[in-house]
Amino acid sequence: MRKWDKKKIIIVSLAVLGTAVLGAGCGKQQAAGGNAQETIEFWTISLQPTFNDYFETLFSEFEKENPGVTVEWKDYPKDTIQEKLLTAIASGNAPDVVNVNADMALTLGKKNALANAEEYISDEVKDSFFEGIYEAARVDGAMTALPWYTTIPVIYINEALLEEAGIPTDNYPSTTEEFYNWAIDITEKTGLYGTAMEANIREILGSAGLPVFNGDYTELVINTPEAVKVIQQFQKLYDTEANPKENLDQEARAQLYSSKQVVSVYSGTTFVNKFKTTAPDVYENTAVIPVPFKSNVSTTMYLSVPQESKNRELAFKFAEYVASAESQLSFSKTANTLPSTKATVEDPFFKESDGSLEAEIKLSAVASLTKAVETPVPQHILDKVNRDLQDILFNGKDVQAGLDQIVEEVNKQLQEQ
Amino acid sequence: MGKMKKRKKWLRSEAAWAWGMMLPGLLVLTVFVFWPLIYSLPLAFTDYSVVGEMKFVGTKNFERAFSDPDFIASLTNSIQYVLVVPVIQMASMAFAVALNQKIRGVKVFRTLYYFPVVTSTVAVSIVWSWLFSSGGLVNQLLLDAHIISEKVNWLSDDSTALWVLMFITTWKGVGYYMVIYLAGLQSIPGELIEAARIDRAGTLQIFFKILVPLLKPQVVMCSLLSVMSAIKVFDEPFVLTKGGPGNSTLTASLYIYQNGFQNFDFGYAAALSLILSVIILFFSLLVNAYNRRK
Repeated sequence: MRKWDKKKIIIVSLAVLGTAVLGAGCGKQQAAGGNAQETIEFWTISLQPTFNDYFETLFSEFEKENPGVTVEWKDYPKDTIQEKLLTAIASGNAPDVVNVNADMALTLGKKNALANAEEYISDEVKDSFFEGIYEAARVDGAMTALPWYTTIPVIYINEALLEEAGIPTDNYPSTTEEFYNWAIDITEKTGLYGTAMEANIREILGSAGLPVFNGDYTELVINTPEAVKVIQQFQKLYDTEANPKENLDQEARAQLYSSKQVVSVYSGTTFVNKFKTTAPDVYENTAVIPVPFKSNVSTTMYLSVPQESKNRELAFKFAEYVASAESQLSFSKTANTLPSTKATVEDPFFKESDGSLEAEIKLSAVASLTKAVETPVPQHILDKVNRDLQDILFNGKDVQAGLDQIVEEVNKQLQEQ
Repeated sequence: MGKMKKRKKWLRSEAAWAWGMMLPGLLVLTVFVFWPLIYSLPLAFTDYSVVGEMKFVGTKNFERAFSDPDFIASLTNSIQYVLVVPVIQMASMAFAVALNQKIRGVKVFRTLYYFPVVTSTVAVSIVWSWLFSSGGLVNQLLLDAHIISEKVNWLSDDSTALWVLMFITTWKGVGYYMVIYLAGLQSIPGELIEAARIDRAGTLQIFFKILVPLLKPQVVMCSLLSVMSAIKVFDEPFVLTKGGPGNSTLTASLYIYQNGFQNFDFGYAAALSLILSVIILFFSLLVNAYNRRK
């Protein structure tokens, strides 16, 4: 009995394994062979399950307009989508339309992995987007992606803290210099942090309308006299303790703002969700103003079609449909995002306020969309530059010398790649 | 005929049973560990970004690595991280000895000390980042106790950031090694301790002359595991500091990740991994040699 059991177990184990391996190999073939319809594989970033209803309606309408086409939707977290995409491209299973941000579009575009949208879309479609957002996806002359939904920073202000310190709440700053001086003044009068802005090269230089890279992304240009001046101005916020010397990601900013350690915060339109329920009194006392800087650095989601897509024409038709003014309006109403299409913001939804903070945020953000700029920087370079920038700002180092060193090191890396 | 008999006999043997049971696991390991490991060796001599062709570049990636200041800084930090090993080992052994006593509520303490091991590093790191923020609890306590006179920016000061990460790693790792030492302690016959007590040996003498020598297999294993984890540390700097400020908390694993999975420079990342593996091997041999000598 015992020896039969052993043999049986070995055979069953092998059979199960064999079936699993063969099954895995055959799965795709069966699907491809058994389905004569055309399929659009669409990848998004962190949108399931919250927006399932919106997308199901969107897909069914597209499928109705395009008989024989089926949309297959997959959703991945932001941190993994780039790896998944590369693996899919390498194994010949690239999706047809993929949701990327400007950094990913730049990195993948530099590797010639994305199809040129301008070979497939009309001039009318091209002109429908805000220029600053649209042009950010251009890499080596090719348009690597179509803009989709976006978010833009505004300034959140806890007016109760200002009133307690006798600081007026009816005359807010309208230039960068005024804003920095205002934050420093608040710190002097309240002992609290005047503002919370991340030491992020993209945000600091982008807000001043200055580039991080040269036109073809082959050289970092953050040590120009103009850039040095902007960073030195920003450094004053740290020297006067008006801005916390911390890695100020959204969670950290939310924690500081909710706990009333900071009076104003520079953050995106969805930041309100971070304190609305956890700090209702802060929510009640919050006012928003548009960012008082020269430019407004947006964070946009784009739609790209990989070169490896088996049906690029249909893929771009679908991407155009998802990014159209009508679809974006409907998505903005569902997800409280901002559109990248000019026509969408003309809708009353973006013009009227019901008096709620969310509505005020929307109006403030929409007001700045025309000066929106997207500043793509490949993630690994952004991490490196921000690390070194933090070292300069937090530890009071010489700005010119520090930036010169960053530029030298990064440009050497860029040449070696 | 003889061959058939032999095969039948082998199929009935304990070895066949063992191979049958190991096979599924071995297949998974081969596909997901051994094959990528072997594949990374030739990859280190190429320029490969998944998209596009793979080009052979000889030793260029290695030359680039040794002239790359960020990689040198990350290696230095990873090696400095090894300083947590003796601290973790001594602390976990001390806790294990303390929790090996027959006292009321000892199981509760064992669970509490093990708790950090099973918590998510990301969640734990976020909580620690709040505690170590300039307005956080750590500064508050130290100011109240007059240990510091002004707030310290623990995670944004390049002279303290790495030490804070090392502290968090120690806090998280102690429970894991403590359980291994506890298992080792429980296998030591009680008669040995009793005999030592009859011979009037003190607590310290029992610890150093009986417990530590008998725990040697656990010490070797834990030290090896701990050295390897310390050099490969990734989670804490990834979540808390992204390697900054400057390169003060950039570790080799984090830098390899950035090159491989953010820049898709897989050839270079493979070369860096190979260098890191050699360094880990060197430290492992060092630990082994030290333990054999003693």
